[in-house]
Amino acid sequence: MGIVENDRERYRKVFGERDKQKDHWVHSICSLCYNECAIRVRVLDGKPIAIEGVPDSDRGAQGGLCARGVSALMDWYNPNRILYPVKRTNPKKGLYEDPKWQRISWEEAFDVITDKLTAARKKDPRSAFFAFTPGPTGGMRANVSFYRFMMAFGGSGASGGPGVMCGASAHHLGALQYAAWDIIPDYRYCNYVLRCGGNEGWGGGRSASTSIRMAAAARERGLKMKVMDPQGFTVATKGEEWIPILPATDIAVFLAIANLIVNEIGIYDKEYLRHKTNGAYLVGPDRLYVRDAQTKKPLLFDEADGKVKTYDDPTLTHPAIEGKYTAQGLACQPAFVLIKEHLKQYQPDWASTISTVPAATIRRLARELVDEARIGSFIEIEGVKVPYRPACVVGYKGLQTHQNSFHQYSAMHQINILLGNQDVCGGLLGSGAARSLGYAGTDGFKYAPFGGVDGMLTPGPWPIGQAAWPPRKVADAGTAMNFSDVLSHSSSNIYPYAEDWEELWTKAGRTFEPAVFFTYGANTLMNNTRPESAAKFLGQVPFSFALQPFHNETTEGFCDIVLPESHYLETLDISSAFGVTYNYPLGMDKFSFHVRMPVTAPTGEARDIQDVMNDLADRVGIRPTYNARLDDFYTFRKCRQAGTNREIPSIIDTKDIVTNIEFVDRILKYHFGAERGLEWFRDNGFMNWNKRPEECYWRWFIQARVPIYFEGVEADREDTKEKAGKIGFDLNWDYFTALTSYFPSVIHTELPPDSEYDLFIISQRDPLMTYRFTAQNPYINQVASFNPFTYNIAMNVETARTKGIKEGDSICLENHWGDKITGNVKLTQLIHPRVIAAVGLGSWAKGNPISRGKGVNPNALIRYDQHHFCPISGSAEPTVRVKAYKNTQSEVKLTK
Amino acid sequence: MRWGMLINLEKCVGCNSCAVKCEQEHFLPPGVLWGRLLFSETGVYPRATKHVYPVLCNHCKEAKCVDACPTRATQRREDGIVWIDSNKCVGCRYCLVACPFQVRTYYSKELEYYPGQGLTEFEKLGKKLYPHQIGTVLKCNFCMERIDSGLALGLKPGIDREATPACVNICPAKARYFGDLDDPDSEISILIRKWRAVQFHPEYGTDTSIYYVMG
Repeated sequence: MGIVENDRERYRKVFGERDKQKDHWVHSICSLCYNECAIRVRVLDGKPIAIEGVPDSDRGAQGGLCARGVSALMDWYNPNRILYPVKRTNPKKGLYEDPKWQRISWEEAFDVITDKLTAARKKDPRSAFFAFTPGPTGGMRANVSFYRFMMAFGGSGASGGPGVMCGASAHHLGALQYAAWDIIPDYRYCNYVLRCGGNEGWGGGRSASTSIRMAAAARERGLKMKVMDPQGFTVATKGEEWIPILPATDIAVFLAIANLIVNEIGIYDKEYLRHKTNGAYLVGPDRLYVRDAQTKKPLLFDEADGKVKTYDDPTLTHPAIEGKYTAQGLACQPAFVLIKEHLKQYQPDWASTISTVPAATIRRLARELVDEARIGSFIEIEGVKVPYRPACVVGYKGLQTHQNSFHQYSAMHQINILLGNQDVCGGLLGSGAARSLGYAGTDGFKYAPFGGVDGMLTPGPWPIGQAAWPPRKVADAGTAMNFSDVLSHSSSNIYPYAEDWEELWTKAGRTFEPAVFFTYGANTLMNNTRPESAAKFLGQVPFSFALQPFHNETTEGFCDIVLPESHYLETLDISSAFGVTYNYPLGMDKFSFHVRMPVTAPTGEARDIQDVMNDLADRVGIRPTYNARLDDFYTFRKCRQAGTNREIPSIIDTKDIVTNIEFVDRILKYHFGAERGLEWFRDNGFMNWNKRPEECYWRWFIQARVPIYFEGVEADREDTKEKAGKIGFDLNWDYFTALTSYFPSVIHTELPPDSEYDLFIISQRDPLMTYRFTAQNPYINQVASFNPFTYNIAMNVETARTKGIKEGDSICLENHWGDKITGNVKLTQLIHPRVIAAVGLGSWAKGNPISRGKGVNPNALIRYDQHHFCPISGSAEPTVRVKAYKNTQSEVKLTK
Repeated sequence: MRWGMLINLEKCVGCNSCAVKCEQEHFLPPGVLWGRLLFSETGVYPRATKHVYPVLCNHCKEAKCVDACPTRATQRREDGIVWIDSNKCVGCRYCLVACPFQVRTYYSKELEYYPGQGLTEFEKLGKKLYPHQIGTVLKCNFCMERIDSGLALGLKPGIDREATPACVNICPAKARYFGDLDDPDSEISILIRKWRAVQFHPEYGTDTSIYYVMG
């Protein structure tokens, strides 16, 4: 039997009888954004005809589902799906090229790909580039099936999609502060939210339907919300107050609020600082920890007995956060003393000048946060007494996608730390469940964060990459084409799609050249930077291939072969059930454990990614390592072993050759017992078990501290400066400081204040759009056309008046490099006068006829270089200074 | 007995889930939406506010469309549901003019969801399962087929999902409520009083069956 026939035979054995039913419902997991809500799908005569949420499940909106999730049905019927492997017959690669696809067999496709991968691996595995992101078939699949293959191969990771624009700082600091991918207010108990971008709860951003359900219930309960955002047309509708702000200046407001809390109001959670942060660690004259001479562990001063102790000394009861001490012969102070002093410079008037937020508003916000946080109070949840802090500051992309984002996002967290609201009732929670005490039936599915290096919080299960703590050691350049060797705190950044990549890489010795580019889920060309910059890199790669259910600009422009991935409704996937520090379960929601079940057999010759990667791993000869990486993930091995040497039983051995179906069955039985394998979930859908307060509000039940003082960053400054400087990085090295500090984004400094490029364009997240691929859905397109903010460029009414621009005008936006985009104007009062906003759309792929030519692509205005990204977290600066004027040119052509 | 809907605009986030689910539930042809969102804004920067109003047929007690229909295709049932008997509709579109809420659509010609690529299997299936007649007027029918089949099974509209309009079930914000406006003790009647919900355009004198909690 051939490759596809084998797949189908295995499918029939498990799902054949089920599929004979005339009319039935199948439980599965959505894939229209990376939050992956539970769904149930009605199937009639083998065809899906309805999608909705799952009423008894907390994974999603308890029966409800957002528009994107519902619309998925139309994707399944999309006549433009890729159903067979295809190869490019047009040898020319580039923007707008027609690949002239020709159908080939899986055998032929695999033979070519295997040759290329094997040759690349023999020469240098790093010459194979793996670009991936949550895409049309789910977030966790990219993280597990694809990323773990890359690890086993030893290839290079190249941000495939919105990675650098997505959560580089959010996930970096999510790991450091919450042991979780992201954050979300504890909507069930929170009373006050200062929301600074990130429209979770409004259909976009994180946690999709789940957060819509939670935030709506909170509003019904009386939640107060303040929205500090350059635009007020997404979330501010429901906000009590919209506070317009210039992009990337939130940092000034946050630092002023922290200053007011610490140095003026004087009410902050001292016990939290003492016991749960490194604010109590003693810092010497070199601004580094004072460490015990023998153990090298950081030291603290215990006010209870007046002794200096290591952080893990069992007799430590009352660490000092104030005062001056001597330890190891050095004059030293608790880190918090330095922070308190440092904050004094950040006055509300100063912050107002930078941000345009009135000083009186800043003062009021500080007061409200402190008043609402009820510092020192406790609440009993299901018989367990936990701290109660029902107020928080939350934000996401608007905060963290800027050149100054490490400090900006840290400044937000600094306020939450001062309120003591992290992972306690009513405060700010890590997304998902950072701690699980296990499924009661078997004691399986158990994991937790822990205190790692220097006693600092270290995540348990981590979806992708290396969690931010502990950071890698700074290494000499030349080992990583994105320079994550010299910039060691992050692993993903703007490179190799930045304008100065060639120059830097050449100085780094060009230790290897790109040989293969393999992409999954991503649309590298459109979702990173201006297409021309991405094309410059992709054009250098001799062989590119993709695994995708739909074509996009990247496959059409640059891929030699595209393998057809089965639609998510045809997929058996266990990875999305393991996104527990990624997207579920939130707050005191139940652990609602679902498996993404195939609703129907795959169409054409489309195949499941896990089976494809298994086959490739066999052919390239990396299956044992690939098995090991998958096994580490699905057993929660790393965190279960933390601090011990104990052996963790495996699910698969390195020598096992198991198919996706068998693997899923084994994983389920490993955690939930022999009776709850794949067939049980096929027949019963999902299972619930209650989350306990000690799991949801784990913070005071786990021995670990979070950084309010970034000593690791401070410690690496000189080394980074030397090694990065050698290959041409010329940055403001002061940025590598332990103290969260004001740094303006380059968008506020690169041009004079009176520059003609007087506007900032922000790319806003539309509730109907996931990256670009939902724009291709005709259901979505139809309702999107009613939303004036989706396909148009939003501009302030008064700003437009001064420029002679009227509602509906075609305008041109031009940056100081001369790049231009055009689009139609939607005038609104709901946007800062110096800001314009557009949704990232503007596709041209022939395989996407619905979205083709709709909306604009603000990314086309971006030019990254070393001065347009955050060197600590890797986050990009996609906000661009532009001038706007009426477009007098005729319509812009989509193709050459 | 009078079926009605309450939409809490404090909870609605304008995600369009109701509109898309309705399209799916009723196999609506492209260009026809039984439910949709209206967007507007009030105020002047920086004290401006955005408004989103989900709209659908109001199932008016004093329905202008019923009065305007010369063939009695548009009818009002005893339970308050206003519906169109396609077999009687001649496509004169007097009702489109008469309806003050502009929630009716004339289905003029067959279009494809993927233009130029033929009807999908889903659209073909819809022609069998939920046919719409070209040359007639289409509009929201409060999912009356769900209500009728649900009631026949002893289920309660607004409480049991199988008997409740699809847009109410799908709303991720749980902003929609459905029930009997004539029963003062129904959940919807209690919430209308508690939240001081209002009808749109009472000045038209149509006595709508959709109530809104203003956000």
